[in-house]
Amino acid sequence: MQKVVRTLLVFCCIIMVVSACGQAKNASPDTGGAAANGGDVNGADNNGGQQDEAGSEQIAIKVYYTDDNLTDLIEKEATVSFKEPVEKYEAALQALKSSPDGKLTALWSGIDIRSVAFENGALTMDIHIPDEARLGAPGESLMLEAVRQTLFQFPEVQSIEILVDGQKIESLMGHVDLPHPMLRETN
Amino acid sequence: MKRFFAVLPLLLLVLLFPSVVGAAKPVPPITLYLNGQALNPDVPPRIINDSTVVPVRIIAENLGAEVLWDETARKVTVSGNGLSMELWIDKPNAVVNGKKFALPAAPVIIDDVTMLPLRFIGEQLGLKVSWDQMSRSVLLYKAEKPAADKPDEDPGSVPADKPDEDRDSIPVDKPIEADEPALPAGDALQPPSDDHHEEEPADHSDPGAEPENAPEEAGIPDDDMKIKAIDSVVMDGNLLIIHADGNIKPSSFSLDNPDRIVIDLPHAIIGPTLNGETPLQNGEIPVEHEIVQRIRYAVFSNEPSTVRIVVDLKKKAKYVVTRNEEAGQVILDLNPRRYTVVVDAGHGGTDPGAPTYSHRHEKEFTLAVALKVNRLLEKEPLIQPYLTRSDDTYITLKGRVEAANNMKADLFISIHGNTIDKPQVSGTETYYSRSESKAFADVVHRHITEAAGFPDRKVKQADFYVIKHTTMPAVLAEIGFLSNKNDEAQMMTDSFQEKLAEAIVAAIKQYLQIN
Repeated sequence: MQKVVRTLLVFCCIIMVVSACGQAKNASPDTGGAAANGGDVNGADNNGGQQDEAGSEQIAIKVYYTDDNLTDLIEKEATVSFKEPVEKYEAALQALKSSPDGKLTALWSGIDIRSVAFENGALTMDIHIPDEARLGAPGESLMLEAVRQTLFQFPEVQSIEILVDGQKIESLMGHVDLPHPMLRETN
Repeated sequence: MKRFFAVLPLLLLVLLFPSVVGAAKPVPPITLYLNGQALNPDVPPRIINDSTVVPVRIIAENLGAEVLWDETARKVTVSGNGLSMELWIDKPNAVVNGKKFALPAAPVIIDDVTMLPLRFIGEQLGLKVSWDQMSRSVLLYKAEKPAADKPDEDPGSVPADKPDEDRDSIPVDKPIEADEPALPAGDALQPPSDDHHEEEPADHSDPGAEPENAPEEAGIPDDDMKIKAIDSVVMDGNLLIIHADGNIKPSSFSLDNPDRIVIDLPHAIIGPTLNGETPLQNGEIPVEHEIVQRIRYAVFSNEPSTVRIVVDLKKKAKYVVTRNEEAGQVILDLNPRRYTVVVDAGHGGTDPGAPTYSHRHEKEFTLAVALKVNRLLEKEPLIQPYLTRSDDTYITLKGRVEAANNMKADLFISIHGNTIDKPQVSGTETYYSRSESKAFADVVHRHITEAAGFPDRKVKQADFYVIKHTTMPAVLAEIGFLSNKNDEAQMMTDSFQEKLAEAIVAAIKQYLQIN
């Protein structure tokens, strides 16, 4: 158990470095949006979030995978730690990339999360899709649904903008249209 | 006596000036068939005194007789079948083995070609000769061995009453009247008059009168067996509409040289009135049409009574024959719409699609299959295929959809290969988005699953862009798992792709009800 916690901590450190890049892109990370986040994060605390010694918050979130036959979206629980609110989303996205059990397929496996930013309810991420991470039509569909459900579980997230290599593209993998941004209403 | 070569100068003339000769003919062409094969004489047959005369070359080359020409006597000697016939230009008599016969038409020279009376010579040579008014054809039947019988054998025995499916002609099940020596106008080239035809249809208006057909047609509903009376045959635009007092299941085929479409209407008779007039049993419907030259009809067979309609065309035309059961109509559409089918090879260019087991790309597979489907569809006269991409180019999903929507395509099929990180997963699935596409998806899935031989992962509903935003029935087929060793190995072979393409084309044709 201790080993797991330590791994998570190392993991979070990496995320913090990554997220710093993301934050740097934001013109005003500490404006009203951030203040609003504060309240929401407290809301998340009600899910059992805890403050650890390093000042990180730890919460249980839902993450989505598919079964070993590529048919359904499977919900799993994961624990993520974060200091800054935006790190929570980054941690959630990282959780999408690897499945906790061999019977499940992590649809986001192999996707590079280049940056994540959050402002005024709008979450923006920039990703890179290596060729080997490309999926068929049902895989792409489930992959989008997985990120949608994972990120919209946070009530403060109102929209998700996914950029690929910095660009707004029509479709992640050539089957499903990618709205710019994805809105909660269309969920 | 000179040999056949003496005729050569005449033949050469014909060969040298075929157009001059051809331009001289004022009457509708007459077609000659020998054992069902069309003969194409350089000079078309003529009708003289109601008798057909043909170029001497037909007699020599096609009927296998020996022909000699005596210039001084202007005499033609035809030898064959153990007989020697002497005929003289412009003389209405012939001498056969020393015996004198009157000829219905004297041999003539037209445009420097010697024309001989076909029936007289043909029958002397042991051929069966009949005239089909409907197709304006002379039908010659040569027995396998030279007939030992006298040519004036019982006319009731010829020709066979079995319809020759390959021709529009009607080898009527009674010998053409011409065999009667009493009728010197043996070829019966005049329009048929009523006395040439008994009132047979009346015998068949009662379905009970056909007991011999009952066993082989036992499976046919009673309604189909009932004799239907055809009461109108009219041209409406590019549609020929045949109406009867019941449902007729037509069969049709086309012939060329000249181009014509033949529609057979089984269990049918010509009604007491046709287009409001008293019909002949064997007649013509006046028509003025860009494509249609003539519409002819006749009772073609008596068991069961079958009406044959021959549509002579001015030029080749694509056509479909359909029927409107409720209206009791059989419809020949001479300007049938061609179906546009969009074949979408998934991915391409900068979008390689899924990686394959052997480190290739989905886009190669999808393109290979799409190209094969396209090539097969191009052979379908009623289908116009369209490829969203024909090479390794990236086309946006929007571009694919707009292409299909703008051309108001009738069908859209997108070809893909699937993947998952579980190597054991294998199988075929077919997606539709809008409910109107479900039926097409079912048909496609049935065919491709059978062709691929992978596990059946069923027809599924999902809002993939190209099947969601298109406005025609559209499906996306995930043929197999490129992440599965076996699926991939097969999917990358030419033979698999060809088989799959054939299955896709079969599905498209089935859905569009072509053939």
